[in-house]
Amino acid sequence: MPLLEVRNLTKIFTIGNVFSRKKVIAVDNISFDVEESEIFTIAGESGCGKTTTAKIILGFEEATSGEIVYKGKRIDHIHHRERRELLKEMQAVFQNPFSTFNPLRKVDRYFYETLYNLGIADTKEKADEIIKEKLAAVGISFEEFVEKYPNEFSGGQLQRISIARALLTNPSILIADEPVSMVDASLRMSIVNLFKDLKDKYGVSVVYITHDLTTAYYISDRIAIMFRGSIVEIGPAEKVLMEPRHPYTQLLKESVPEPDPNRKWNTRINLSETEQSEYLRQGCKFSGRCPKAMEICKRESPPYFDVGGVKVKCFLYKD
Amino acid sequence: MKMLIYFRDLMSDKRFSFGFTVIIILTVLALISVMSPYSPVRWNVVPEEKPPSLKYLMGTTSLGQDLFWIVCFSIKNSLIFALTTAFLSRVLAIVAGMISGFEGGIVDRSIMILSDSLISLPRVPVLILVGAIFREGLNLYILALVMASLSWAWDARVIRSQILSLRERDFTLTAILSGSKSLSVVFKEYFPHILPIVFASTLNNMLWAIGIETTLSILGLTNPLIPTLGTTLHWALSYQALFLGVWWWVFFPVTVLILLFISVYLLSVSISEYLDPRMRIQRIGQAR
Amino acid sequence: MMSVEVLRTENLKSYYILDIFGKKKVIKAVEDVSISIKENEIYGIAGESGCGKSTLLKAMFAAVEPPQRIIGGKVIYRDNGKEYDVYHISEEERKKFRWHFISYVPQGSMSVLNPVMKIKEIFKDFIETHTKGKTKEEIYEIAESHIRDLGLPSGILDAYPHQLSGGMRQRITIALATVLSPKVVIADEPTTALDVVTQRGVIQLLKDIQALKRNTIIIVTHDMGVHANMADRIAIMYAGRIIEEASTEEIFENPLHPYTRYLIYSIPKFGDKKKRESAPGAPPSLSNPPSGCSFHPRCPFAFEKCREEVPPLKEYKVGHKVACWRVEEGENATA
Repeated sequence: MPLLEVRNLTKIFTIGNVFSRKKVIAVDNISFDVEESEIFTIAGESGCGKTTTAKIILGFEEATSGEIVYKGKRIDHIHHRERRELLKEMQAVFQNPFSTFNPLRKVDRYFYETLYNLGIADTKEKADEIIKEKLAAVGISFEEFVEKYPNEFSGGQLQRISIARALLTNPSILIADEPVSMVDASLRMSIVNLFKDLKDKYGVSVVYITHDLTTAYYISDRIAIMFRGSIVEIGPAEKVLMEPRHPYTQLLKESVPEPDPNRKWNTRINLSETEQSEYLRQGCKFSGRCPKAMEICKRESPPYFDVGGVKVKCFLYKD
Repeated sequence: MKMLIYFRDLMSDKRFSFGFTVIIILTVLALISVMSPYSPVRWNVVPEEKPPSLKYLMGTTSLGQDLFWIVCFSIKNSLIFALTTAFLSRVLAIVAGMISGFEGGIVDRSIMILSDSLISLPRVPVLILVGAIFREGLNLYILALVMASLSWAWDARVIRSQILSLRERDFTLTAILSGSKSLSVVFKEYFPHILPIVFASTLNNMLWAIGIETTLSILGLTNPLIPTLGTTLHWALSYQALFLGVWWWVFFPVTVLILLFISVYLLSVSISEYLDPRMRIQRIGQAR
Repeated sequence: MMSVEVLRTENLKSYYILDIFGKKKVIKAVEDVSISIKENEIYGIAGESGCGKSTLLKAMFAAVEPPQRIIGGKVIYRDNGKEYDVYHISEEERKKFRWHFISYVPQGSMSVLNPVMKIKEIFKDFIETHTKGKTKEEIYEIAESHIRDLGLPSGILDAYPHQLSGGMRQRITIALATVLSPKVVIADEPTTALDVVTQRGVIQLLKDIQALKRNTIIIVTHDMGVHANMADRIAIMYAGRIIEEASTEEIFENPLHPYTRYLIYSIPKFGDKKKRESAPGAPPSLSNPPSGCSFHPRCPFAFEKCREEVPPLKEYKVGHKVACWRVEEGENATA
């Protein structure tokens, strides 16, 4: 049984007022599983629906339709009390460590609150002990951590602290939404390695949400590529990223600037002019920019085709 | 200890130190009013219309009152009145703003409709009407209550919009992930961000209260037997003090009013700058 | 071919001096920076957030506003064979350089484009403010031909900013900054907020402009991949100083400074799952930088001298400068 299952998840936002309502399908009927002790990546550009998916899993947003199943139990539409119990199992790390913590409150307050509120520790000694252990796991000493405000740390330190807070409850799964994109370049890999360690040493599963395909390749076991609300390709990271099948995945991978001056881009690309047109497009949402688009792509939304263990949402693989 | 540090920081700002000194002097004057040898409501206790001298520091009025003691009583009553109004209206504003911002939905909409109606109500005519209805029965506390219920709406709106934006910040999610309940999120996470607005608006509200009270008193719409800066001026004007050359009867209350206005204004500007979250974030934790 | 210098800084120092309720705070954002930028090259400045790279750009663009101040050194523009010391000429003269000689592409495109004006009106406003005596028709003509030259669809001139995608807006900001054909274009993290595909489009545009107008582009970003794809030469900035400068090939093939090595070797690549290590520790604060070499607390090779003296930026081989005592003492000639 998978640890976390997302089944046919859809989220539709209505924007505008009474007179002109517009529907935006932020997440369009996506399904995926996360196994135990696995790093599962959801990759895509901004506005592809990856953050909305994370918020729905965490219960911060309500799905329009679909199911979220954790350890065989549905966790969408659960009561407050159950949701709080679930916090022990499922925690999250956010993109910007400086907005993860209230700038006017000391960081350690969140640690004690987590432990007391969720009934993990009842005395200060016990709490301190757990906090020390978790801080050690992320490489921060207790002394440099206590009684400090967020801006007394660097971004990298604070992101480690944010991870340590998420670990306090010994969760089985971490939802990490772009955890390294705001971290300084010289420290980024240390955070990425941390997730890998968590999986290897403690068996924690991580849903790693990112736009950065190289770090995704570096740490993830399986990956889903999202585009305008749909998963266009899903499978083992090695296969998806080394031999991308979907034209969008190909474009995405090719657009990652490689740190190698001998391999500069030599082809040119076309960009979409406006943002909305692709959300409202009939058929495959990528068909407007796809170099291999066929007639059928503009009319029908493609189903998933299995290509060597990878599921691809593209008519090119119909046979 | 912390308060002392805040105070020291604030005193390094000239605006604050000036405003603070003036307020302290005025407060001392208000406090010594208990030592007054005469009751403020008795007339003809001293010779009439004597100019300021060592014996009568601010001179005497045409009613035979010692203006110095009358001014002391006035400051006391005006300050108490302003503080009561500001306190009551802040409580209303905070509760309404926080509930409205955090609960949202129908609760939010009803509170906002109420606050919109109050904002669009012309406040001075309403107060004149209230004054005319109550006449002599209008004591300062009732007036404070009426004024508070008229003046919370705008600040509630400001607080609500702050809460709405804070609710979207990631730390709200962190607090929820830490198992905090709604009420604790509101007080622990949001209140420190709301505090500067509350402070600045408290002082502004006090200024407004003193201004309105003076206006109503001069128009003769409050109980003239309660000495406030407004009623003192009301008596002076009805006895044609300036025309008769009793200039001190007008000069001292007006001077006190102006000083009070300037100093409260300076305090408000200085404190709100000091409490501004962006400034606070720069100040706290300078170790780095 | 001897390339001609177009802009140079000499021992430039620029600090932020803040006064927060009586407490003085000095942020030494740019310390002793001397760089020389040539005509029609793409010069990359790499460094992480808070290393002073944006401050350096503002100083070069001569748009220094309090609390930022120029503490020492010079910025020199070279136009038509004459040199101008930017901070020793009048504000009037400085204005003449702005947008005509040197222009600036900021990070966020939304803050530059007025949301209630059509793109062509924004162009008209901009051109009108900075040139004189042109009719409306002439200005539209200039804007349209410029847009066409850059390969952007001319229909966008009639659009409002919010109708366009983020990438298109950023490209319009770039088009706007280059419409008066400046010799030097400064781009401050022009692709940071953008997605990879869009980023590629923006880089493509910047390269097109450079090829078309033969001007100089100074690009600042923390993304070494972008630098590898664009820049001819790269300067690495750390804690307010330039610590290494060389041609792009040289930097990537033979990085000398330990910090540069961490920057380059820590980037993961497709098809290579080898463990990547970040530099230990955290970047220093600019208000209280460490003594000696500012990288020494994080440097695994640091020795006594590194803690005491600031290493000078020295040419180690032709066109490759580095500021590191270890390289200086020859212990690390190759690695």
